[in-house]
Amino acid sequence: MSEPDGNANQLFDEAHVHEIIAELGGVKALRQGKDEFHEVVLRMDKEYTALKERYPNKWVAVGKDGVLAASDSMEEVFAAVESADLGGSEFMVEFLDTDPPDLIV
Amino acid sequence: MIVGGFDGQGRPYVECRVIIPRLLVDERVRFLVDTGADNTSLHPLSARRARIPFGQLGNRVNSRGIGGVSSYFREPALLVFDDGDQSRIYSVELRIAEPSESNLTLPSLLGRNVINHWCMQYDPVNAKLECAVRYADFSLEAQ
Repeated sequence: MSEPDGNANQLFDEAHVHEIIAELGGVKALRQGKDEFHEVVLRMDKEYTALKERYPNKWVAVGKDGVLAASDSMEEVFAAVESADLGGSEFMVEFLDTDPPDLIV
Repeated sequence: MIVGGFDGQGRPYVECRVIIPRLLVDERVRFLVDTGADNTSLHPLSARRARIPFGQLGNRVNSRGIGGVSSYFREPALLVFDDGDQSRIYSVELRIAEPSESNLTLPSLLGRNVINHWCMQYDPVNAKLECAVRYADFSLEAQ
């Protein structure tokens, strides 16, 4: 298969993209939070099985230093995290299903 | 190279920054790499973390999947991936799922509108997922 020449449905032109990136603080700023978020993601992956045993069928928020909140309600977990004024890159929320259905997407 | 990985359940993921200018949304999201998905979609868990203002969404579309028909809102967005010293940017019409009981825990999906522009090395045994970019709408060098 040949590579496409481009994205025919491109929604933002180059000038607009540069304007958006500049408003966000420039190209360097695009990488802010990358390592932090990746660290949280890795922590969730590494501890997923242990967390599932500790918090079966609960919603859990994990940050770089461990569990931030756990509840039967997703909204309660987000409320707890947001009340601590954490940014989105600083935590991850998962439902720890002890009998998860197969994922078919 | 865009470097992804496999989660605790062995599913292939990549992380990127999702920017939705109209909604002032700018958040890092982990996407399940889904070669079966036509488009890229944000599901409720990621949408909630990104504080998507659902009241401001429109442009509704139905999408068909294994589980039936689901309702999504279309929204122009930029997906920014880190590729060495470069930021690879894709301008997409992001699908944002209308939250429901059945899709609450679904991962967000990176579809073929993006991954068709990559050559992927998929090696779960060695926990390696690497994507060489063949095309990006915009490429910016980090100074």
